[in-house]
Amino acid sequence: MFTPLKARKKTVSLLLALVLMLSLSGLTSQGRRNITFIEEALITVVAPVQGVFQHLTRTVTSFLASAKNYQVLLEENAKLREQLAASSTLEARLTELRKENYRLREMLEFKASTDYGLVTAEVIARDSRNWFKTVTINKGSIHGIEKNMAVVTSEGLVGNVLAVSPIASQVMLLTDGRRAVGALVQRSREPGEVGIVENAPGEPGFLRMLNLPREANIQPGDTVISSGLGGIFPKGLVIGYVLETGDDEDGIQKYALIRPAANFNRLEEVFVVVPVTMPDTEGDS
Amino acid sequence: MPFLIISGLFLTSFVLQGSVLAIAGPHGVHPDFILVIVVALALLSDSKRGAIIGLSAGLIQDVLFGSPLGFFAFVNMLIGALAGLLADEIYKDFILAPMLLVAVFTLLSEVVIFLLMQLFFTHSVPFLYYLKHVSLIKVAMHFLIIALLYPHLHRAQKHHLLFLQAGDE
Repeated sequence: MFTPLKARKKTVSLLLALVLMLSLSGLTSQGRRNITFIEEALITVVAPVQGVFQHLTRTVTSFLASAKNYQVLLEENAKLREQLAASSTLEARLTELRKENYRLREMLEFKASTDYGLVTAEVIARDSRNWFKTVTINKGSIHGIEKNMAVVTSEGLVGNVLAVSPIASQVMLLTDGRRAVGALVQRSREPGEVGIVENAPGEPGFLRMLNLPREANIQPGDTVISSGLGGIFPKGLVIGYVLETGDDEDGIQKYALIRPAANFNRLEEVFVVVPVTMPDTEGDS
Repeated sequence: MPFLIISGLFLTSFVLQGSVLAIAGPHGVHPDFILVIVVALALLSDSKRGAIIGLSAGLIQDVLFGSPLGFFAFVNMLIGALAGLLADEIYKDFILAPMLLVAVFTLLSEVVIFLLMQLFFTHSVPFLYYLKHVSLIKVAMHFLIIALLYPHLHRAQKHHLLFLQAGDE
């Protein structure tokens, strides 16, 4: 008598908890105004640890890439093996520094040439699950970051800030299915040809531009920029380049497949676009 | 002690999930280390503990990685509870059982996630494409990961380091 009652109680509790999680998920699926204190605290505690591991991962990846080159050299000249072994670590470091130098120089030039206020941030973690596309950056509310601010690289638009804690923020990438951006073709800049750019299902890493009129002046190679509509992304940020165009299933509208300008697989440093009136954070590069 | 070990296990997993595992993986597919641990721990305990572990891990995962709050908590809780139901049905010293079960539960979690995506988001995910190019690779990875992980967890549980009494509910 006791056991079935207890088992039923357990089942009911489990079902209630599942329904609660499902409802919560439904309520938060379209975004939230703010995150709770507990979430903020959790992100604040875990972000520095994630940052350390991200650095370690990059170092190891860089070292492995260098070691691969080293193997080729090893086969070509056996006499230089010991010398190469000693220099491989140095080479890895040098390669990493060279790449970092190139990236930072590009970012510096971009920062100087742009009209926006920019806060430099480093990517310290990324969501490795394949359903949602987010990254965590090492700048938060104490650096002036606010929810919904646009995030870019020197190459183009990356996404927008999803949640902010004091020292870290989560960024939703353009390739996340929850994100859509108002966009137009830079060449024509036809106001009547504003489309929506979102992730392209079935084409991982690519975007698609929808809602374009059938007569839209768009062709492969065109640059697609943000339209500024919607209030989140400032106008004129490069989103990507048109790869191909076509008619949608009904033949009423046109669509375009877009290669994102930013390389989402190699996000290391990014910029958060802040209002120009706000002074840039000191020493944030 | 068991609480500390399980917390440490998950903390390490969260950090790895956001760094190393986000880079490694064939064709851009990454394993869900947390799901594998939830299944393994649930198979070593019971349905109630499996559900609680899945719920806690999923909630933290949602907070840390920016998915809708409760989304992966729901999925992991469901998987944890179902895996826990089978805890008394499998021979725990036989590694193939958890390996096969993690494959089944990975596929199940992918189906549940797909259904939730359809429910909450307007964009359609081409599920068959996803199943072929992502889910099956993930299943294979989880199959191998649990083979490496489970024996250690099982050994730890034999010394009651994970749960004080397995299946005592």
